[in-house]
Amino acid sequence: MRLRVLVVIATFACLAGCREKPASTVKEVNALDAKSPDAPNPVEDPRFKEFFDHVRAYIKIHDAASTRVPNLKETSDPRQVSGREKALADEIRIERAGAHQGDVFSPSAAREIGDIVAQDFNVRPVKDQHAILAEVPVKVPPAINTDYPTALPLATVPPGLLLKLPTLPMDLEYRFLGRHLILRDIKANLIVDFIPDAVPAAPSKSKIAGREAHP
Amino acid sequence: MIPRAARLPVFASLAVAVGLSLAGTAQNVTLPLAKDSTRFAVIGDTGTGDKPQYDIGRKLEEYREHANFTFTIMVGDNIYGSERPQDFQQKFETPYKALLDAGVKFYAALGNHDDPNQRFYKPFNMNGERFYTFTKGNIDFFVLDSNYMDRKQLEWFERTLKDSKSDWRMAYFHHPLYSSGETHGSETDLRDALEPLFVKYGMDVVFAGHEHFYERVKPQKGIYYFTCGGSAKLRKGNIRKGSELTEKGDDIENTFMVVEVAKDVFNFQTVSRGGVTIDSGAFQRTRREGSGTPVALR
Repeated sequence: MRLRVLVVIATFACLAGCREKPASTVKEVNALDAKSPDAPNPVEDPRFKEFFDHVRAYIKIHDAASTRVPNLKETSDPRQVSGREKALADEIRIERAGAHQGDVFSPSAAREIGDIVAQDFNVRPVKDQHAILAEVPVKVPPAINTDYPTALPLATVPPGLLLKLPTLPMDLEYRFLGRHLILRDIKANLIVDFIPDAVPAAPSKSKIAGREAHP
Repeated sequence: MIPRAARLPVFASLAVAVGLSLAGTAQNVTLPLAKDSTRFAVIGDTGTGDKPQYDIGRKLEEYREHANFTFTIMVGDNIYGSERPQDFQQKFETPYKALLDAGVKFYAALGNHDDPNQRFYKPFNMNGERFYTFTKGNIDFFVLDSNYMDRKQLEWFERTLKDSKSDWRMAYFHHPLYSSGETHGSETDLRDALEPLFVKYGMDVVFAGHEHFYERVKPQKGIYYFTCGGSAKLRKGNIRKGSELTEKGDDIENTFMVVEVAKDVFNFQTVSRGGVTIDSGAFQRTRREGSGTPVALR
């Protein structure tokens, strides 16, 4: 009798466990990238083939460098977090010594992505254009293989624009630094590449007057 | 249309009123302090290491002693400026030492001033993720990274939200979808991405920061929005006068919130650095099915 009860319980447990489970972790979502045919910016988009090849090559370097530094785990000691960030950046710098602007954003990719950014920017209200540029008002061009300045905020990239840009692996992200669009290695806090002046210059502030106020 | 919310029943209002009068003697806590309720604090734009942050930290501890909240949600800008190890100490560990010592857990969202690697700092309980979810009592919390709302995050959010089974669904992140702030205002781009999911899957309450003041926005599509971004930084006089969005706002003092969810009732109290209650109220949980009607606040 007891055995029969156990069998019934085990069967129910198995059935419950077998039902389709939605992706609930970031890693699982990351793995969805290549599978989503409805994505507005699929990995297979031929316009960005060369760019994705370069991104994949960079990720190989990143992954190889990761194996040479301590694993990044949750810790109550912030020294371990910043220490690992720096160690990873140093390893990548060694691997990518001599890297140049345009190595990842190839000229054709830079043109395509620059067009997407400019088109998105130009249809935004003038006040929003200024807000994008004002968040990180940096005049000096970024430099490849240098740290993203830690005392500066990370400019918010509008979701509407992100949905139009080629999707990046989880370890990389687009950010604005002044008018430049940078490719940033998140775990290493490193500037991997950038498109100079990707964001058009905003109209003068006097044109803001008369614009519809935020709701 | 099925009513999304009902006015607080008379007996509940009376109970709350009695609770208020009794609680008034205990450090001015206006929450009902019901048995088995879930209580938490809300702070935002905190990581300055300056005096207002420390003052709010002390005031939070005073309220914890009476309201006995067990966790705190942080709506971003957890560490301003440099993020050296000593900054984590000066801008987080020391100002909230009493709370940490009492076992209060902090759950952080990332702001535009935060290095995403903060997710590996254990006291922020982010589980190594930029966006994550956790459950407390009968509430599912969805913590988003509004600095970088890409397709992956949206996809994760929809799947996780769809899977939510708790009575209450609350989201928090840094940028407010609705705000009367002169400096930033409503984040309409972000709203376009998130609001349809909030409405579709029945989000109840949303907390944000970024604007350095307190604002309770009139319910939008049946959802409550609170901006609590003045827990260290303060942008005085920054709430747009006459804004149709504002139900209640305060841009004069630093503030924090204490929330108590007792079954289907959400109770909140917003307290200033000086210990003055600047806003408080309660509303009943909306029904999941059907679209919303505005919810009554007292």
